[in-house]
Amino acid sequence: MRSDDLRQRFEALETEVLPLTGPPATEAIRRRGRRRQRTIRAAVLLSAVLLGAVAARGAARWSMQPDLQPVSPPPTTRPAVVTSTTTAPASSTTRPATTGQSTTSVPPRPTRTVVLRADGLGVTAFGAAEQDAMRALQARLGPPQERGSWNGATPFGTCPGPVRAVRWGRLYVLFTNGPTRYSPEGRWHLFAWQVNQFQVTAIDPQYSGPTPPPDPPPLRGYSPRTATGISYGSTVAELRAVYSRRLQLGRAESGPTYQFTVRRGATTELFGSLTGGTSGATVTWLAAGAVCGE
Amino acid sequence: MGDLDFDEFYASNYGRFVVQLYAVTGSLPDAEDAVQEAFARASVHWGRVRAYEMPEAWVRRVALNVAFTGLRRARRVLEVLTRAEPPPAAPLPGASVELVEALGRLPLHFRQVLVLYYLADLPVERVAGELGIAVGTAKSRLARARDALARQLVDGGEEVGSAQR
Repeated sequence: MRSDDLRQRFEALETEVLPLTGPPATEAIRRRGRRRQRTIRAAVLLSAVLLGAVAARGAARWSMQPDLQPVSPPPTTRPAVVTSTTTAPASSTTRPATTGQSTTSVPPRPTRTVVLRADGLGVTAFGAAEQDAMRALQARLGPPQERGSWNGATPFGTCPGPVRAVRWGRLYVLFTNGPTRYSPEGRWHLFAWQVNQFQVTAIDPQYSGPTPPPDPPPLRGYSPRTATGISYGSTVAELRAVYSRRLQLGRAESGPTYQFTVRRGATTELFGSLTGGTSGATVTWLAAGAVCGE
Repeated sequence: MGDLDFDEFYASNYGRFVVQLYAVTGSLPDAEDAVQEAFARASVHWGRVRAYEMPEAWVRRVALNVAFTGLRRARRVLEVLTRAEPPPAAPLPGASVELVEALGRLPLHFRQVLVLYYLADLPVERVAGELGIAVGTAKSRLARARDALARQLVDGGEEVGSAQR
């Protein structure tokens, strides 16, 4: 059979089969393409979520302590030695020693306090080595009630690196060995403090509900203040009275909450969240130091 | 080029591609499905595909891949197994059936080269390019494929190699 004969056979095939098939509408083809694209994206997303969950699990295992766990309560009797510092407010220098029983629901108050400052906590400053800072803080506040560590996403946001946190009452003190404006990378140092309304709990990598997870337990107990008396629960009027034109109020980028910042020049010294924008609205949390997520 | 460009490309090539895929696969529903899938993918990536020197080669290649991936074949088997009744077969002309059956007894690489040369009407050089082989290889493969097909058509021939589906 010659090549021309074969060609005729193929041409006949085309002539006979072509009428049997008609193209579906172009839009149907496009829809099919988009559907496939969505399926691929969903599969990629699912894979990413699964990988993220696996990675988070690995990171949690890597951490020294995966979540903030209660630690042993402080001693029931504390020496009433007062060590005055140049930064401590008058109200914080003479707190009597307590001998009360600690309970699981109401954490014991530290016998003395620290001062919330733009550069640290009075007895220690941002940039201080973790061991030095902890030594100074525990000398004031006793052993922390909770400790925790995270590698990657933290409940405080995207921090400069791995984070270790310790808590006394409402006060969280944060350390990192990532690079901050206070220290280069590779050195565990104090980089922020926060006074919170709620207990900071571990991030649940599995959570994917349509609404934010429920609020964690509220915090009670120790709640330090700035030298001017600002802390959790202070009103906007009080903030205005203290910081005057350095205070800036605004709505959060997302959600109904209001935020405040206290600036000195280009530097943010203090920032936090408010229950609203009126004079009677109160501070729900406040912080200073290197911002996680900035 | 805009969306209309794809519409024209699709309308002017769909039928031809289905015939070509039918000749290679031996199944008109499979050929239609593979070609539609290839065009669907092309529609998503049209901005990139249209910039190719031969967009039709891209679509044909995708259609062939789709038609011969194990996954799709497995799905087809599953569909057939789970069907209560066999799908209604489209009535195909006798001459076409004879040619397609003869092609089906050839190895896949013979079918491909014959379809590209006779149905897609490509010169040997482009056949070689589309198959990713040397021109000399394409020529010799075409010659052997032609002989094998001729034998099949003349006297039903003996099995040439092992047909791949």
